[in-house]
Amino acid sequence: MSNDGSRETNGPPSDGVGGSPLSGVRVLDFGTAWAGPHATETLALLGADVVKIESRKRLDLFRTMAGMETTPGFNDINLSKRSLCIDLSREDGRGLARRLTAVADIAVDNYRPGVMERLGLDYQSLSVINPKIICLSVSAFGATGPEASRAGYAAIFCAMGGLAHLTGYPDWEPALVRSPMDLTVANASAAAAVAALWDRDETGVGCFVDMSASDVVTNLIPGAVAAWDLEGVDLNRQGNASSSGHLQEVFPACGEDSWVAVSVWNDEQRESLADFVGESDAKSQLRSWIATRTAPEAADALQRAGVPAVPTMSPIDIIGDQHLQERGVFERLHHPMQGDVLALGRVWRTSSGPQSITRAPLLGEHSREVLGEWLNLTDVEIDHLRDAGVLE
Amino acid sequence: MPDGKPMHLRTTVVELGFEVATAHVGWFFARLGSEVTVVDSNLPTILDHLAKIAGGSGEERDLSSLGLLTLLGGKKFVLSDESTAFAEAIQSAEIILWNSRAQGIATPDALLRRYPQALVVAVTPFGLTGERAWWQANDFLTYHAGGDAYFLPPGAGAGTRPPVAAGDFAPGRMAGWSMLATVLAHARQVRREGRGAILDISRQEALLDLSRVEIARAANSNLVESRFTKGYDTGGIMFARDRPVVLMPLEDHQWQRLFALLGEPDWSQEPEFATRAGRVKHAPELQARLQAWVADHTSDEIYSMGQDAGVPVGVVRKASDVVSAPQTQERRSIASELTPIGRPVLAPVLPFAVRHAEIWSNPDV
Repeated sequence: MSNDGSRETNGPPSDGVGGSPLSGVRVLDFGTAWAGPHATETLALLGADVVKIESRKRLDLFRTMAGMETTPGFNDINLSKRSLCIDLSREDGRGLARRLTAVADIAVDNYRPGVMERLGLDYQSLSVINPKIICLSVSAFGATGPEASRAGYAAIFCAMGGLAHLTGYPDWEPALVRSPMDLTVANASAAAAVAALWDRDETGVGCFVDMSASDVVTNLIPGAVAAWDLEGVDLNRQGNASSSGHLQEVFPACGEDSWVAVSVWNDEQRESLADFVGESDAKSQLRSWIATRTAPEAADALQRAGVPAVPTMSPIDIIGDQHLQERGVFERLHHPMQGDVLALGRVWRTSSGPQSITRAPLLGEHSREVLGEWLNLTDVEIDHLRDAGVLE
Repeated sequence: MPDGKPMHLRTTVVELGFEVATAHVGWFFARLGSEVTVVDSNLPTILDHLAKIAGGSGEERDLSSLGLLTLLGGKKFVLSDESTAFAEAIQSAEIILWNSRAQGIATPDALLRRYPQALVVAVTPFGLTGERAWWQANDFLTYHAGGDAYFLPPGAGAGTRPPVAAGDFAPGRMAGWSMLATVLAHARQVRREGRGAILDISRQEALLDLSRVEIARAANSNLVESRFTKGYDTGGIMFARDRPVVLMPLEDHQWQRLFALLGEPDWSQEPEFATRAGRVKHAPELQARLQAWVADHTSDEIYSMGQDAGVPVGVVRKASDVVSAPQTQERRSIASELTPIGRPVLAPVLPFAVRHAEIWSNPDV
């Protein structure tokens, strides 16, 4: 522990009923940037032992953006993992990776289809070594179909999957939802991995899960798909307006770029609103009333009056929010290169109480430790691998 | 597999109260073979309303709500918590999905006391504890409180317009995806250990997970972003002859390929255009030239040329485009299923395929 009480230790989270349901599950993270790493991060936060396979020759995209060990993006997407640095451009490096998959439960990547095949680390190859392995591969359009080889980032699959067309103002260009797309794909991937574990509990065999980011996006627009199918209508974006016509709008509050979202969807709430602002021209009344108050004050007063409302929260609002702090959403960790950092922890609470999370790993920080634990390699054997250049 | 599905989740789930996020979790279980029962006394009203929308014409209708039909597919319904059917369903449930609409039935604590071997998943707007625990909020509101609405729509041109939520069912289903691995993992643990638990899941917190990097940047590097800084200096949304496209060359070599597509005009040969800093410096000119090139072609032409040249490009698709896309058809990403109103409807299925040995399957189809 550092002097101020923040935790400096790194590694898999502590075991415990409720907080570590995936305790004992071993995961290899071959991913980069967002989708693959956050999927395995979710598994790590659920107690899995996640080892990130990295290479100095081909760094995780986020490690290249600012300082290698100090990029907030990397350090927040790779919590509670360990790092093992292998040169996968060498056959003996790939051989070492295959030995690790022999004792792993899940292997995750988010490369374009074909990359893991070229490395000999695809499901076809690994299932021969370990029939229980679950391989999860995340790509923009999936591993099959005419677009399988196409490149994609969040903005592209947001557009191709149909969500961009439906987001934003009707008289303005479509709005691209970006990082939440990557992270939603990651969350869907984590869910598929745990479902595969559950299935393996019964069948005893693993599988290959081929996740399409674009299909995850399409999954978010069933209303538009149904409207097209049943009525031949292509829905358009409608800003913040409710599709059912009830009062739903975002009003400016006092302060720069400060807003209050209001939505009133049942009779009881409508009566409350009428009691609050009067019967006529509720929108104008609300607009005038909210404009003279801060967003938190306005939202709280409206909620107390029975009118559903929230502040549109910025990152600064979220960090300083009393309710979220009370809920224990954030944890303060100590990173040897970054110093004290605030991390968003688990997005659930259990009756067994909180479990700790640990900081993101330094590059190759746990190579010796993981090889000793997973493969029972001795220090001499590990030194040999390092001297030969297999370990970076 | 006995029923042809390549992946199974054999368990029993009860949804107390029908709302999107918990219905999404129940939908996932149902798609993989679990027995899912929805308990909500308002269901007949919801189904009647949806049937009228599906069967009506002319006047303005909430067509988007037809998406609720897909969240009901494959599930059983119990209309009253006082019925024998309800008692049977909840007695055998391994997972009880509870939301605010079920407050009149029982609290999560009471459910766990009564069914100590069940996982009770309490999904509320702001959690079971804390000063906002009593606040009311639908998916639109929790999205605004969840961090991402603040960044939409992105771009300096956002001007004085308010932030917006993502469209269609995205706010509720994104929260649903965010909580699903947690529910699955804890349900698996409860089953193994034979000891129930309560999972307290806040929809706001589930959505915060999706803005975690922006939150981390603001907290740990003094980089405070907004929708005004989230636009693309170069590339981004552009308008082809028929519909918008997204140009997304992020790396220098991708830009060089894009310039080659444009015929390598003189200006692209200047050293400054080889770096991001230089391209940003010349952004107004660059954007204008790209837009002019895009406007000369259809979206399909831009997509084919760009992708074939190794330039990340996408098309802003409508639902009809997604349904008819060859990729969708090949992967069977959207399938027809019978709905509770007696009409089949096209619906997105599980977004992944599963392979055992030599056979590829979508576990949902």
